[in-house]
Amino acid sequence: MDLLDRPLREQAAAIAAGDAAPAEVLDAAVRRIDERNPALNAIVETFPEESRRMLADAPRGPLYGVPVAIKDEWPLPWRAERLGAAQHIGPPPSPGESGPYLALRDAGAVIVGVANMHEYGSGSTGHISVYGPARNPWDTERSPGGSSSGPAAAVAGRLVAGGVGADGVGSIRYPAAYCGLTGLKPTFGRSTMLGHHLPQTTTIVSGPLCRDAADCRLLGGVLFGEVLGDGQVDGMRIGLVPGELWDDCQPAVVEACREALDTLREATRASVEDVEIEGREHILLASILVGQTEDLAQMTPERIEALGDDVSLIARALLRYRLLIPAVAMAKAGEVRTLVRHSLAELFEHVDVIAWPTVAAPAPRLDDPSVQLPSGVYPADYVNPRQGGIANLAGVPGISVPVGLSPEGLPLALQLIAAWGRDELLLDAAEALERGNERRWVDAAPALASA
Amino acid sequence: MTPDSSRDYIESGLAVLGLRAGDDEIAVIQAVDAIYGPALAALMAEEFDGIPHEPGADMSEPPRTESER
Repeated sequence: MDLLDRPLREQAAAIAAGDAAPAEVLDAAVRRIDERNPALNAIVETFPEESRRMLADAPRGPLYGVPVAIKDEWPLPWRAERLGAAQHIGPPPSPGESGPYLALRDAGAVIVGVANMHEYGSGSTGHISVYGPARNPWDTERSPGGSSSGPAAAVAGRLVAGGVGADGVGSIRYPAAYCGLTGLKPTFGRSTMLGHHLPQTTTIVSGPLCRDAADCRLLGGVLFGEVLGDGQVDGMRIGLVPGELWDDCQPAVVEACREALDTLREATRASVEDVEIEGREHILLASILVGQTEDLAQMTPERIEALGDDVSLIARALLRYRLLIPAVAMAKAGEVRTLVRHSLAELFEHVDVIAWPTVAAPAPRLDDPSVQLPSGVYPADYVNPRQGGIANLAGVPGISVPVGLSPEGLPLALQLIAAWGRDELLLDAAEALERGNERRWVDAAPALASA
Repeated sequence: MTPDSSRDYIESGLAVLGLRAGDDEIAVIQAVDAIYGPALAALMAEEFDGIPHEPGADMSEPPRTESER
């Protein structure tokens, strides 16, 4: 098997053992991007000279010589972030040593490309970007998710084995779900955010998108600046929240997630009980109001007025819409946040994780990013925060794990959420699930990546 | 809100901020508000009594009450 088709940790181990020459791995990764990226538009810029310079200076860290991709949300010393947009709304960005860059550099990794993202990070589908949409390797007419669309498409297409994304309202977990990957949204503040264009954020975290939990543990540990230990999960207490989080999902999603829960329960001798989260009916909107208005602090009406036609119509309209949101709604969203945090703190006294589908339906079409649910047809951007927003609103960690394929052959995913600081438990649980289903879904690859 | 009053609200609200919106932008705002508007109205109508205060909230930690700080 080509080394690029092997997991991140195996690439690192092969290079560390001298079984693979890192310069050759880098060249192979650049060739792989040249070959496959035209179909995916996952990587929006490569810079072989800078990548070779990184490799030449790389320390013998845990990712020595391993090619990785980074979302267009982080400045690099040779490139300012563009956020998938034609124009910055806030102060002009400049190149720099962002936290994820420093973490990757110090781990010995080689950034081989910048990955696409949904314009300004304000969508869960990736179908709007100044670079054009990234495409899902499982079906290139489908959304790869967003806003970390490019890292997910790049990893699922086996261009790289690890991608660094960011998650403010589910932006790592939705792409992981749509692309059949494992994506970890860390506890708020645990992963590096140095150099992010929204330093005042209370919702956004950097995090890994990889094929499986062990790779997320490795890349996540690099972003955390610590080794994430592993452990055996035994006697785990799983909480299920009855209602629309499960009931208003496509049947194939529910079936795959229920089956995964059964597997997890058997693998970890877990108990399952119903739990309730106070304020749940307002979480969708509160997570959007909080998460999608943090950047208003860096905007002015003049800057919004100055945006030209090269910024999407929807972005120009949504920016204006945000300015019209009543202050009372923002204040009440803050109340929901407090209520939910208290409710989760109490809930996690009784259960270790709570679980529901990461997304209610598999990846929608790029030309019609809406989903058919039992309750009706909705834009995917509307229903996704219902499933994912709580982790950002509360600050708790969440992980998306692949658990099946839909009748159309699209990935399906289960989300697990744990208490603050229990990121390692989520990784342990994900690994237990992988063992329980014999890695059937984490090792599944789209035809495009099997060619 | 009727389409006309919605348009008036959008245009006059933006005008206060010195912003203009074209027909396309107004149509998108109206479409988005049609989706989120009911949830927004429900949130604004909510009476949140008895929620414990969380002074100096730290999103990386569970909530703490005043006495725990």
